[in-house]
Amino acid sequence: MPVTKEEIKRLGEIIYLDLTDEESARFADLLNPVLKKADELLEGLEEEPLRHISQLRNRMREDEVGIPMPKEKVLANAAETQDGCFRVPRILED
Amino acid sequence: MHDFEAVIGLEIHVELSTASKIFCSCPTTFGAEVNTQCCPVCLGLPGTLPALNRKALEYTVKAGLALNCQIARHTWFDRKNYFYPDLPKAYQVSQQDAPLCVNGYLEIPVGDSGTKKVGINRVHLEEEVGKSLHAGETIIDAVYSLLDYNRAGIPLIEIVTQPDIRSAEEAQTFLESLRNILRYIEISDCKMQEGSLRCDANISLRPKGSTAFGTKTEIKNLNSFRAVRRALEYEIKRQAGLLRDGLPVEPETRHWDEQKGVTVAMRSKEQTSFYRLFADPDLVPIDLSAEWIQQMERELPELPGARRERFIDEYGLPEYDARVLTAAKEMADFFEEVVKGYNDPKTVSNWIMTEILRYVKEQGEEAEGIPLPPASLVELLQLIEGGIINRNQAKEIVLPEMVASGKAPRQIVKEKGLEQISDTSQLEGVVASVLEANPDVVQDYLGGKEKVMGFLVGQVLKETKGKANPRLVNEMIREKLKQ
Ligand SMILES: [Zn+2]
Repeated sequence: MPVTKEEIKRLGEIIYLDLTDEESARFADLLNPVLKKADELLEGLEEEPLRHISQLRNRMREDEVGIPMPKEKVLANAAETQDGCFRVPRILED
Repeated sequence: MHDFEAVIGLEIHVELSTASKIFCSCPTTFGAEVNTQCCPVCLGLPGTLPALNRKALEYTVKAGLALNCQIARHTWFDRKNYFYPDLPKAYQVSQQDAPLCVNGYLEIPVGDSGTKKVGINRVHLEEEVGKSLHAGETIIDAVYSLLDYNRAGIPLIEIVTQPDIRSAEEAQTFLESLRNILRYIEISDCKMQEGSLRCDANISLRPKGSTAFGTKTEIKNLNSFRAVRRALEYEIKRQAGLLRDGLPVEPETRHWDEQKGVTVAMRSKEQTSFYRLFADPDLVPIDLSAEWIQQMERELPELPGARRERFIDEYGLPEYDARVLTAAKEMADFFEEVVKGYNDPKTVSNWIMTEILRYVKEQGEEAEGIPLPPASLVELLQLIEGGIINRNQAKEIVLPEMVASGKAPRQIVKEKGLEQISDTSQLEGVVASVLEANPDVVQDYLGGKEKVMGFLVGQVLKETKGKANPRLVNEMIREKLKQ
C-alpha cells in the first residue's frame, strides 16, 4: 500500500518534524518502493506476525527495593533544572 | 420535550501498592523528596533492561479475578509512543492490545436492597507517569513545567467499565464499591487525595428508551468521589440543555473546575493522539498457566459480597447491618474482632453503625479507618453490661475521650469519677428523701400510674449527678413503695 505525501506530512507532525511539501513528496517517493517490496514479501504469508524475537517467556523480578540513583546524577543530564526538578517548556500548547 | 437518560462509563487508574516499581527496584514511597526514587531503568537511559515486577502481575490478575474477569493466557506489553514530558522515555509501557483481564463485572448496591451489575471491559497493567508541577499561577499562564519522576514507573492498572452506569449517584456508588473491593484484596490503598486512585468519566445522553448512543464527552480532573458526582450532575444538565435547544454536544475532553463547579472544554488532543503502538522488545511475553491463575484465585480473601452473606448467617445480623459493616474492610474486621471479645453481634453492630461510624465519617471520605482498637470497644461494652457506667455516659463522655486521647475506657471512668453507685446502702438515703419530697407523685404511682416511676428515678439520678445505677434505683423504689 503506497503512502501519500499528505500521510508523510502528518507523520512528520506527529514526530515533530516540520516537513515542507517538497520534502514530504520526496520521502513518499523514496519510501514507496520499500513498502512495495515489503508488501511482496508479506503476500501469501499465513504466519502470525512475530512480536518478539526471543523465545524467552515470563522473565520477572521479585518485588524488592534497591537503592535509587543519587538525585544529582538523576538531574545530571537535564538541560534545565529548578527546585530539584527537570524544567521543560510549559506542557500545554497555545 | 425529551426525557433524557445518562450513559456513563468510567476509566479508573489505580496505583498498585508494591514496594518497588513495575520494571525496576526503585521504591514507591509517597511524598518522598522530588527525583530521589529514580534509576537508569525508570528514567529510560540507554542500555538498561527492564524486568517485570512479579507482584504487579499477581495484583493485576487478582484485581481481574475479584472483578469476575477472564484472564488472558498469553499477554505482552506495548510501547505507547507520545511526546509529553511526563515520561522521560517518550513512551509509556502499556497493554493496549493484550489486556490481562477482560469481560468482567462488579455488582453494586442500588436503592435499599437491590443490586446492579456494571460490566468491566478490561483491566490492564501499565506504568505510572511522572508528576508535572507548573511554575506559574495556573496551568494556563505557567511558563515552565517542572517534572518529578518519583512516580514514573509505579505499577498502575487501568480499569475500564462498560457504559452501564445511568446516573451520577450510580457512578459514585460504583467507585466506592470498586475501592472497597481493591482494598479487600489489598492491592492498593486507593487514596484519591494522593492520586493512587483516579477517575475519568465518559458521558452522553440519549432519549429515554433509546438504545443508540449520543455524542459523549470525557471529563477529567475528578479528584474525589464528590467531584465525580458533582461533575457528572453538572454535565448531565449541560448536555440536556444543549439537546433541548437543538444544539449539538461536541465530542471533547472537559476539565472539572472544582471551585466554580463547572466543566470546561480542553484543547483537543486529537492531532497528537496517534500512539504508534508496538510490542516492547525489551519485555518478554508472558504465558499464564491455568494452575497459576487458580492459585491466584485461591489466594483471594473473602470478598465483600460473600462476607455480607456470612455476617447474616453467622451473626444473625439484618441485611442492612451486614451491608453497612462490610462496606469497608477495616469496619468489617473491626466488627469481627469486637464480637470475639463481646459476643452480642447486634449490640456491637448498633454501636459501630451509630457511634463509631460517626467518628469515621468525621474524617471525611478518605477515612483511615476506625479511630480506636477493637479491645477498647469490648471494654466499654463490658463496663456498661457490668453496670459500672450507663449507656449515656458511655456515648457522651467515655467514647469521645477514648477517641480523643486513646486512653482505655476503664481509666477514663476512673479519672472522671463516673463509676455508677451500685451499692444500695449509699442510695437508701437519697431514695427516701426523693419519695418524701414528692408525696403527690408517690400517690399517683400507688394509684396505678406506673409511668411516674421514670420521674422518681430521674430525681434520684439528679441527686447523685447521674452516678446512680438506674436499674437498681428502680428496684429500690418499687420495693420501698410495696411496703
Ligand atoms: Zn527506577
